[in-house]
Amino acid sequence: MIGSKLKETFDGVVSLLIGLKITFKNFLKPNLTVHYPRKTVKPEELTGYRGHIELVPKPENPFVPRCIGCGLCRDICPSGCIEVRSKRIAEEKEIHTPHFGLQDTPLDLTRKVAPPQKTKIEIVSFELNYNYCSLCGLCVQNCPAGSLRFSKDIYLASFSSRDFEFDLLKRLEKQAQARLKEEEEWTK
Amino acid sequence: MFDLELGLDLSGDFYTRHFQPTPSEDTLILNMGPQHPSTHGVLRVILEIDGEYILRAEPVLGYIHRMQEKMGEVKRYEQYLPNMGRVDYLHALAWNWAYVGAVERLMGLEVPKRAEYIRVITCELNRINSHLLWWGAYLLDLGAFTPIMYAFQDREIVMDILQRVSGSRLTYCYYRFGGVSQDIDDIFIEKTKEFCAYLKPRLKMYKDLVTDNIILRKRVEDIGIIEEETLRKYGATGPVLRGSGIKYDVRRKEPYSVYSELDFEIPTASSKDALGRYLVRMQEIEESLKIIEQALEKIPPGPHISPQAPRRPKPPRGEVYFAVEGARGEIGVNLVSDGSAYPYRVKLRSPSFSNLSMFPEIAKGTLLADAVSILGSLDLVIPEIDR
Amino acid sequence: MSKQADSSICAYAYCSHEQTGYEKHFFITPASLLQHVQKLDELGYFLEDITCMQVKEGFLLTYHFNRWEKPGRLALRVLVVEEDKTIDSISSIYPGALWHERECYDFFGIVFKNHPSLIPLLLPPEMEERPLLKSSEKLRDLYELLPGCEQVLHAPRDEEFGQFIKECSQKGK
Repeated sequence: MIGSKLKETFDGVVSLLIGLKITFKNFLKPNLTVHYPRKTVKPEELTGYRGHIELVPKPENPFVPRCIGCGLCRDICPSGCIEVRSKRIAEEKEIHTPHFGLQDTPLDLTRKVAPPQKTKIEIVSFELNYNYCSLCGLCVQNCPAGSLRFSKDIYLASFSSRDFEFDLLKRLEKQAQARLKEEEEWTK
Repeated sequence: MFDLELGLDLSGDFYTRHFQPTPSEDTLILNMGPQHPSTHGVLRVILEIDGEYILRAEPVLGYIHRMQEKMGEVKRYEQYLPNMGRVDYLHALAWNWAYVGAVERLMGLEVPKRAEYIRVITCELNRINSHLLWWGAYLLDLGAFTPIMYAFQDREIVMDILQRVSGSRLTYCYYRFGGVSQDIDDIFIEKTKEFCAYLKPRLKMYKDLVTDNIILRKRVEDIGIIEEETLRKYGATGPVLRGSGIKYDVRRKEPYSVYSELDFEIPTASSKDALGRYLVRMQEIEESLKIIEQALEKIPPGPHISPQAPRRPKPPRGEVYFAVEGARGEIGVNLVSDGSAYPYRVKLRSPSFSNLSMFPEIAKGTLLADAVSILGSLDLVIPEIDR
Repeated sequence: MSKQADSSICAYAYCSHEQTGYEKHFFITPASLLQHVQKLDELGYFLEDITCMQVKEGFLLTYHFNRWEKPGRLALRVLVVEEDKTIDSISSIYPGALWHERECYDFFGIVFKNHPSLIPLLLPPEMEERPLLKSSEKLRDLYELLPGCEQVLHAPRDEEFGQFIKECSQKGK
């Protein structure tokens, strides 16, 4: 009886000493956590991380997104948090004047000589309600024009849910302006 | 049950009223949870106790019920993918796999070899993550605070690795029908190898620090013994089953993907108690490391997603069942299609559900403090139970 | 389970595990459910889950069983007609069915006879509606939704099959 009690005590002390040794070793190791918000995670550690989506500009014009307004992203979004509105604008009609010999005929020939009407799609608005987004990435993968990508905006915090209803077109414009400014400064 | 002086109805809510006490003066009805720290999430257990001993226990579920099965019916096949990361947030990739596997089986879709290997690697990394969190949280239940800090330190590394390819850190939505959404790169492989080398000495340290510790042994040895018959009648799977010495693992017994090409053991313990389940999980981490190392060696080049992979699948009509081995046991997705773009019926078989249903049986006659140990050793994830 | 034409088995089929995940499935009459479950219990099967599905003919309850040593998923299917949404509870044989049956009661309103406490499990107790019930235009025929298995006792996948199962499930009542 006493023997087993003694053994138990001995085992307990050994366990304790082993535990203390490990704890002491770890005590001397450097800090591992990042003290947010004084420090943030290094950008290279964010590779692949998904922030909310943003629009990709056309290579020739940073103010215009590549978006073709097909609405596939809106369709596939499981939470229905994307809203795209686009409109078709007919380009100025270029009318060739009919041959002067035919101009006086009662038939309306002007329409026949006009080339087929060209239309252009303009994105009126591109809104994202980030409150419902689950960051699955289905919209980015489904975009046929490659117009969506994940941003690196990860430190988002607010008291109001309205702050997470993004207008992505405005965001693109801001980014483009920032880029222009940067380029200007660079050239100076 | 009506306090006349205060005018309060003390009979409790629907479930407490249903749980009628036995006509005895000595027993007490105790309500544990849903905010009790040891129930991990919002599990509520109504207990009838005599002194410190539990006479009856009845878990009450549904506090985070989200009707995932209904969501499956009202969303298109591909739109249901992000839900799978939220059923079980600790082993999200296994649920991802079960669902995409079911759809692939329904459509007869071939998955490229490389994608299968990527799935194996990421799923096993996720399993390690899940077991590590269980380990830390279980010890936290038992009164040891530090281990969860060590566990989180390791988890961070795995989460960084998985974030590189999947984009998220916890609720992954990575697998796609016919493959995965993004290929792995050299840095991923390198980091994973580094992690495997890093975790092995850590596991030894955990053994010295915790597993061999006499206080832990006293809290888990001979606690919560589950007999084979109980396990079978309740349909328990996973480490809970293997902790009682039964060698049943879906990865081996019903092989899916490339698991049949990999060499690994199914750890079992014969002690049938909480310690057995603990040891099984710790050994499973080692086996997972073994699988990952082999898979990294064997991974072939090729596409990461099948070129025939449909973006909007419309499977032919029929019914399939696809089972995978999750960190908590057999995850099953039973999918019925009527040929349209929406599933006709999605049934999610969650392992924790069956494992927890055993609790009233095994908690009977144990000490209240041991009930916490038993609940912890079952490794419950409440969102998975409530779905 | 005996392979002779047992009158309580309406149809049975062997499936390809590769394609469906099932090994075999049995359509049985509701009256013989307990007897068949008892047989499976003796054979050492464990209960995986119980699921329900609404079809035009009524409610198709599926009991999934599996084995540890020689795995092979087995599905016991019982058709419960709309007018009489009751079936015996198998919880006396497999107590693990208690929660699965409560779940089916929650989602579909199927009443399990001899269930010790058939109270809501996942849904709030005051909730009246059954969330997984479908509107009539969304309902499909039973034969359309079956796994791609070879029906042994009857031709697979035609409208007659659904009628046959429906009539068969009325037997022994």
